[in-house]
Amino acid sequence: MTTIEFCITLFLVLFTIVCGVYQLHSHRSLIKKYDFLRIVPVWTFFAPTPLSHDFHLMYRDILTDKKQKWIQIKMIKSKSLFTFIWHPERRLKKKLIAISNLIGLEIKKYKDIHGEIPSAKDLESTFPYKMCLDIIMNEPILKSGKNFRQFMIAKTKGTHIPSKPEIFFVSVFHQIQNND
Amino acid sequence: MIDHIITNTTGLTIKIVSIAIFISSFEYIYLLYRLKQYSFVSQETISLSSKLYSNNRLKFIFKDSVFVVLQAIKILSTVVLFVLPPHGALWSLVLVVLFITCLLSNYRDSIGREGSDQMQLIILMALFLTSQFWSSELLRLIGLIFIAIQSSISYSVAGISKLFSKYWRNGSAFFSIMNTVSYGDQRLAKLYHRRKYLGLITCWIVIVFECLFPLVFFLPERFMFVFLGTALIFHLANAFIMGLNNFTWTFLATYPSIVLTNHLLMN
Repeated sequence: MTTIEFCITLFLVLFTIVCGVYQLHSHRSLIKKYDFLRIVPVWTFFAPTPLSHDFHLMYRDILTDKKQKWIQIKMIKSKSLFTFIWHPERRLKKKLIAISNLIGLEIKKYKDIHGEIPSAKDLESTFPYKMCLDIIMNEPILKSGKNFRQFMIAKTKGTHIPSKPEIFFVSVFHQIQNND
Repeated sequence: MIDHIITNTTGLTIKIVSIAIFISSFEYIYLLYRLKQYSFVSQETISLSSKLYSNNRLKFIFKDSVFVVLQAIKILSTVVLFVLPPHGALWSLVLVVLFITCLLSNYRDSIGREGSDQMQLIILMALFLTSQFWSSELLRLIGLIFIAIQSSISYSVAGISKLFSKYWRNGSAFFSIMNTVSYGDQRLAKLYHRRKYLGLITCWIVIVFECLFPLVFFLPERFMFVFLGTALIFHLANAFIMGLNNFTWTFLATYPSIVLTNHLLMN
């Protein structure tokens, strides 16, 4: 075995050890800090807490001081017969779940530091907030003029036993950038 | 003889993982063009999540147009790897290209990544590092054993974390998942709500199966194939019911390495 081959083997062994340690929640943040390529995996699939909610991203506009109805951004399509080979929408669902969980983490982080629940304004500069804002700002603008837009993440539970939608997060109003 | 087996195992692994990456790349292109929600992340938002963004030379990878080009390169590379025999300079070069494009694509789209994306990267990384073009027979074998161990770790970690979860132990987890629109199925949710014991049985079958997965290396050949067949059925069920289509191909790609490792240990 040459030196290069020895180094590659050593890397694969070390990578396996790091992967094992990464699964322990307590060591995750340290490894994440040095995982520049985001290559170390998490293998906990639906555990320890299984998914029990669906998240829905909605937005509404204020047009000349009049609040419009909430509009839901359709991310979840019903599954087709070919879902087992072709199912691109799953990435959108996963992304929305991830963004919602990140907002939940930001709320928790703020509470731990400041000892109080943050207002929407406090989270305005965070990554998940800005992602949601980007999504809703890409939606069509109904009327031109000086308008404002707000987003909400709602949670629902159940297909068989549906529950009432629960408000998870509501943003502040943001001015819509009109091109005209 | 062993060289021939290693080459065949590598060939089978890359062919199966190529199918997974081929489908996944077309899905990305579909999302970008058909659903505008996917093309939503502004440069300003990305700059909050990525240290690479501050590097002016690498900023270009975050553009939507570059993301589409990456998918096109991935599609082309998978076709070439599917057709070519798994040796020679061209094969190694295409493998390097596929690994780098997958790495960049995963980096660009890191929020809400799936376990299948992660496993694809690990398989490509191992095959690229131990490519026949610059590696000895022994190192290529080590690469395949690495893939087998990673696959086994993924199943057993999933099983152990379920074992430590009260929702999985008391059998409510499966109903919870089935009762969502995102990953569930209304008919199954109804059935599992009516017959609670089914939830308990399903959860414990998943826990035991995943926890015991490393045993696959030590089973006699016939039982090993039954075990891997069961794992494949598990993934197919997840693809049909939960819509996790890419997991089936990706994890199936690790099975040739598992078979090889089992042969090495048992013979």
